[in-house]
This record gives sequence, C-alpha cells and structure tokens, in this order.
Amino acid sequence: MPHAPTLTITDVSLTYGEQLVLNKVSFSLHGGRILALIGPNGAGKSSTMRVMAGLVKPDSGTATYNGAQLDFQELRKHFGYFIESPSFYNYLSAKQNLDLLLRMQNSPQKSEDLIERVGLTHAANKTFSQFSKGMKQRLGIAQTLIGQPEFLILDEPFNGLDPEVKAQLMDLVIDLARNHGTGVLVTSHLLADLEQMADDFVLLNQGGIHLQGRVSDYVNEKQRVTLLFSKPISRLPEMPFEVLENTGNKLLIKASAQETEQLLLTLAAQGIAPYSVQRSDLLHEKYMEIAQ
Amino acid sequence: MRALLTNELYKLFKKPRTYISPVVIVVIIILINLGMFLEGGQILDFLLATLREQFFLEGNLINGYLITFLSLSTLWVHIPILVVIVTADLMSSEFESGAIRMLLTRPIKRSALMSAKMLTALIYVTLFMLFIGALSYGIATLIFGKGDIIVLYEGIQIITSAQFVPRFLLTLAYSTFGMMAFAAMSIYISTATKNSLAAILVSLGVLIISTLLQTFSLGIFESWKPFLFTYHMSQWQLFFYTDIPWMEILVSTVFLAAFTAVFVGLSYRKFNRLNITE
Repeated sequence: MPHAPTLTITDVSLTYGEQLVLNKVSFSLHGGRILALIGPNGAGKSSTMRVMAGLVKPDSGTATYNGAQLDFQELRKHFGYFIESPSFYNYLSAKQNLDLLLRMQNSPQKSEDLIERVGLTHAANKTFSQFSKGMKQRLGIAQTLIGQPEFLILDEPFNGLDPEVKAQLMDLVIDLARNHGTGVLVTSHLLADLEQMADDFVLLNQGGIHLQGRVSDYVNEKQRVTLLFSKPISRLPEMPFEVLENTGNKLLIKASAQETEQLLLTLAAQGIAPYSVQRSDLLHEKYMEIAQ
Repeated sequence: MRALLTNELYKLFKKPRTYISPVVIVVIIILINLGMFLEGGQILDFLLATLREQFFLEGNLINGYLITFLSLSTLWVHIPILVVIVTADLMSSEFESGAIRMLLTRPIKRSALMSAKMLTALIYVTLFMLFIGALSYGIATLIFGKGDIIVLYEGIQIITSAQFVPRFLLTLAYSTFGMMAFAAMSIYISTATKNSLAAILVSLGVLIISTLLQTFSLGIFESWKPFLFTYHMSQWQLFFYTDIPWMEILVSTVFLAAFTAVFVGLSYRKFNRLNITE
C-alpha cells in the first residue's frame, strides 16, 4: 500500500492591517484521516483555510507536500476546497456550473455523477438561484470532488442542512477518508459532529494553536456524565467510577466512555434504563474553557 | 488557457446583459435609417446649402455609404458606453457573486484567469464592432444603395464609392483597437472596485470628462488633447480624409496601444496581489 500523502503547514502567520489573525500555526494533514479545525468565532479557522487555499497570502510560514516545500498557490493542486456558503453562477444550472469547473480542470469526470453523489439529481437542471441553502451546500461539496483530490478542505460544510442530508454528507466524507484515502480538514461549529467523524483535532484560539491531538485521547478520558431516571435507583452497581452527585433520579459521575457503556449495560440487566444520558468530554470542556 | 477562455465565453453569452448593447445598436441604426429615409433630403439640403452656391453637385448624395458614415459618426460616442456594460462586469461580477473564491481555489494561475478575461473582452469588442459595421452597412446600402460621399472635415473630403469599403473596414479595425483600450481601463477599474455598478460609473465618468476636455479648444485645454484617450479614439475619422494622414493615425495607434498596455498591466498586478477575504 503506498504511503499516505501528508500536507504540512508550518509557522503560518497572517495579519490584516494591525490585527494578528494567525500566529505561527502549524499542523499536518494525513491521507485517510480527518482533522477537525475547531475554535470559537474569530479563532482563525477560516483564515487558516483561506491561506491553504491560496486566497490570502500569509506574512510568513511554509507549506510542504510529502516533505517537498510548495508555494501556497501550488497546494491547490492537491485538494478540493469547500467554501462556507458556496457561490456559483446564479444564471447557470447545477450541471452547467459543474461542467465549467470540470472543463477548467480538464477532468474526465461527469457532472451527472458528482450531482448524484450529493443527492441533487432531481435539481441538476435548476439554476443556482433556485437552490435552497442546503442544496447550495451539497453542490459545494460536489465541486470539491472534481479532480478526485487527495485532500479536502471543508469550511463549515454542514451549515444549514437538515439532519438527514447532514448525515448523508458526513457519511460521504467519512467514506472518502476511510475507503479512498482522502485526507480531510474540516471546520464546524457543531463539536459533536466533528467528534463523531474526526480522527485528529487542532483547537485554535485568537489565531494560535491552543491544543492539538487525537480526538479519541480526549473523548475517552474520564468525564462528567449525567444520567436521568424516571424512577429513583435504589442501589448502584460496584464500578470504578467516581460519583459526584446522586439524588436518586439524577446521577452525576466521572467516567470514561467505556465505563459509561459498562454502567448502562449493568443497569439494563437490572431492568433500569435512564431516559437521558449526557456526557461532556474533555475536548468539549477544553473548547468551552477558551470560548468563555 | 483554452478551457478558461471557453468558460469565459460561455458565461458571457449566457448572461442576459450581454445582449442589451446589440439590441440598443439595432434600435439606433434603424432610427438613423428611418430618419434619413423620411427627412434625409431636407437635412442634406441644409448641410450643403453653402456648397451648392459654389459647386455643381451631381449624383445620389444620400446613399448607403453616407448613411453608414453618419451612423458611425453618431455612434462613436455611444459605443464605449455600450461596451463598458459588459467589460466592466467581467471581473466585478465574479466578486459580487462570490464565485471568485470558487475559481481561485481551483489549480489555475490567476494570470491565466485574467488573460482569459482580457481575451474575452477583446472577442466581445471585436464581435460588437463587426455587428455594428455589418448592420449599419447592410441596412443602409439595402435601402439607399451605394455612391460617393462628401465629408466635411477641415474642408471638403471626397470619398469615392470604390474607396469607401476599404476605408470603412480600416475604420472598424481602428475603432475596435480604441474600444479595447477603453475596455482594458474598465477591466482594471472592475478589478479594483470589485463592484459592477461602481466600475461602470467610474469608467463612464472618465469617458465623459475626457470627452468634455476634448471639446474645449481654448488655451490650455487644446494642449491637453494629445493626452486624452478619447481624442485618439476619435481619430478613426482620419480614414475619411481624401488623403489619409497615416502619421497621425500611427501616433494615435501607439498612444492607444500604450494606454491598453498600462491598464492590462495594472489589472494583472492588482489581481495577482489581491487577498480574497470576504
């Protein structure tokens, strides 16, 4: 199996006027893995993506592809870029818009296939101006697949989508990463979505990297779990977790994901089932620390 | 590059605004021909009253060639206005729609995209001028036939029927060149302002000021003329002198070429350095 491609940016800094927008941001994106770029508004997520897309020239920093240094403009050869609120030509249909981009990249792909992959076949001949926000998002995803890029950069791709479509597109992105070796860099303000699909994360704050690592390392740490019961539970099973609060109907514990799962199975065996389970993981807490 | 040019032409001919100017031209040329058909004799009698006192004028003076020439004389001020509707929109519409972000995230060079835009402008201006030429010549000769014409520029210029077509074609070629200079300026303004309306208004503002300065023939204004692009654009009229002043035409051609080169260069520079932050 060939070595997975790696795209790395190092010490990228960017200022707009007097304002420092990015401060020495560095991370790597690997083929077959999904990297979530997270952070509150103004943290520098979109600016990082714009630099990587060659839309904005950074003040300093380098980019490498498989170890070879590239100009940021050249990086575009390796990825498909989804822009938040994608814009196409209003007077052209979805098919015509994609045909333009296919021709531009001399791609043998068919616009019909791309449209089908994002579930827009029924609207292929509608003009872009007739599209709903969700349909525009889907067409935006379709255009990232042109040229079968090794990497995808997705800036808020699931905004404004209904749950069903969002699930479809998340499955598509996960499939591209897991089964086609595509490296994905994705931002979303929906942390739960990112935790569900991402392998790695970079948490940005005020233009700099606050924290980065593997999602599993943070999600599987012991965290506060709240379980709510319609009837008070009389006795808790013996388990290696810390009970922070027990009012009978509400149980607050500190447990790992595996321990939580084990507790739920044990309770179920006793015929007890909580009607609500809320788990706040470490990544979420780290995010909230800087967001507040 | 070929794909980019194909895309630009495809977008151009899909846009409704592309067809506004040709429709306006059709209306104007029909009106000119209609006017000359109904009132041409009286207008010509008025214009040539003095001449008739001194010369014996023989033949069909109101002919298709004269009407074609009059159409050009009437339209040359309006053609830049009609050209700018399209050319000023070439760049700014990409910014306004947000499609520029989609284009610039593709693996293409910005300079290649700008070249495609410039070539599209050149093709549009050329087709537009050919359309004007064919329409004005076709309708006028169909209705009024052919003949020699008298042009009153710095005296009496006489263009024979045999001379007219080559001179008319030279005029079209020169005018296309002049319009391209104006188009290049409008594309630069379009890139700088990122707004179609602002680009059209600024381009027309420059056109109006330059044309006004050109009409002032007193003192300092007279010395400015050689530096006004509208002055050089209007030099197409020199092709209707009995003896064509080639040196003057060459000077104006060089000026327009330099004017075009400056604005093409500025457009590339501006576009290549532009940060897309919206």
